[in-house]
Amino acid sequence: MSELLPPELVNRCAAIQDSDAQGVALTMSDYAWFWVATVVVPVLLVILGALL
Amino acid sequence: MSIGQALGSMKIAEENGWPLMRGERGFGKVAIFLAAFSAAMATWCFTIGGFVAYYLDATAGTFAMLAGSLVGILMVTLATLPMCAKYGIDSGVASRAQLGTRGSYVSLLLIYCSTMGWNVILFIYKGRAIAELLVVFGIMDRKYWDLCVAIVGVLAIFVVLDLIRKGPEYVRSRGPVIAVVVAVMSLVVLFLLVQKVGIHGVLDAVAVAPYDRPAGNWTSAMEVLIVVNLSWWAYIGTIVRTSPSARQSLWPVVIGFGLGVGIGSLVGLYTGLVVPDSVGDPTSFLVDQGGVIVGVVMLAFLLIANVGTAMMGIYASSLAVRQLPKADKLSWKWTIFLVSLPAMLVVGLFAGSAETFFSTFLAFLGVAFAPLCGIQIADWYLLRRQRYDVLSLYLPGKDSKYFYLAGFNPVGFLAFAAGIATYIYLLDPITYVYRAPFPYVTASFPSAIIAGMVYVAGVLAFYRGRNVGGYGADTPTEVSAKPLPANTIETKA
Repeated sequence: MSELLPPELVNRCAAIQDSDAQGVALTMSDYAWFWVATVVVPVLLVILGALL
Repeated sequence: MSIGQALGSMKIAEENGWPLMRGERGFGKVAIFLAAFSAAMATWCFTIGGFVAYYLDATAGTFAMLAGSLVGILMVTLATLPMCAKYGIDSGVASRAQLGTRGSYVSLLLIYCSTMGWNVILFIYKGRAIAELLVVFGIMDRKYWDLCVAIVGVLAIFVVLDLIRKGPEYVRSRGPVIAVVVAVMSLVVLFLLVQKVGIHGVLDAVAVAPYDRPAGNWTSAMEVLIVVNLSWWAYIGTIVRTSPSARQSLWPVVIGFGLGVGIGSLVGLYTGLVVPDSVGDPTSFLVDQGGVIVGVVMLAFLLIANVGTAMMGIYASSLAVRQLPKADKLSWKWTIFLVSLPAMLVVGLFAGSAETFFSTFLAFLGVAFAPLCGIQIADWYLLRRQRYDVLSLYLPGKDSKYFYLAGFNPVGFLAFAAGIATYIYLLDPITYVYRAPFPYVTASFPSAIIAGMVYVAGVLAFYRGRNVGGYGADTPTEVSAKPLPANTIETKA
């Protein structure tokens, strides 16, 4: 099947399944602060802007 | 064969959109931020701010733009950053899991249209601004204005091509310098504007063409920033795949792309309010008021401002095109030239229709990318437990788990269509006339939510338990090559 793909690509696909080769994932804390910055802060900005 | 040889050249992997190993990725926080910021800060910011000036005054507009830029980056970041950073792949490759191995050509088309659409706008505006300067300085007669715009725009494309023909590394290495220069120049432009009209001149100016209802004005202004941020879909994947950590990339993306375009567009908002006919572009006004010195400052700004963004756009669209069958046989130089050719034609022939093009283009961004983001977020977090079968993303035939039906995922396209219909119902993309409940929910978010819900329902109804699409099965696709131990992978020098 993978003869259609370059062997380097096949090797890369296999290697990247290993968690040590993957990028470091976001943590729950990252998601929480991201939520604050992109949902809570905009809501506050809209409320503040509408009040001014 | 050494491990390095087994994985091949990192440069080839990067140019062809193949997975990048963590050890190969050299971009840190600062580099990601500067790349994002240099992409976000361009003269399109003038036009984006000018658009907001139709709806809100300076105070409300400032708050709405900052809020819109932050909430806008939410959806596109969730749809791209986690998977692209995890596997070192770009956004187009990641979308094969939802649209199918052939269906993802649609996302490649979206990448191409969005990045080159922005580039067309940049080059036209650059040409127009320089033509205006030449007229104001008495160097050129106004009757040659259109011709000058076309020539300058096409020449600018060749300049950018010359800069990026050296490859992705060169694109990245110049981004930080451009970002810093553009940020400083933006502050100079803002200072000049306030100096000419005064703080009260800006604060007292009224919106150009507001709706009757305040909620409609607020949401329309925020929607502009949301769809602009949705267009970072291709750019974010391209950049974060070169960073070893999603954690490192998160805030640079939020601040560089999200807040970057929001803050950068404030100059356009204030200009659009003070000079209603300008649509946010301060060039003509400042040169009229400030003379030669201000003109030289503006010229320097215009020459530098769009280069980083245009380089990133051509780079991202070239990566997308190289994922088409046989396209990876082309050299990098030919790829970037052929990718830019349609943009040259549009800039050369239709430079006079920039305003119409811009509003239609904004609508296209929302209509196309909001549903796609919704589908990807739902798939990644709810259905696939944050895992892809990476080999299946690249296998072209039936052996791929993402082959679905003849390479297309019917559920993915059904959800995509549902999202598009939702968007168009809420906000007419041509006339910008809205329907309830748009003033309270925007058009992009309902579009994404509906698309995501339809996708989840469709997968649960038709794919789960039937071994289609890789849903419910954790076994990886078989590979003929022996997997390599990750801790022995060659790292970038």
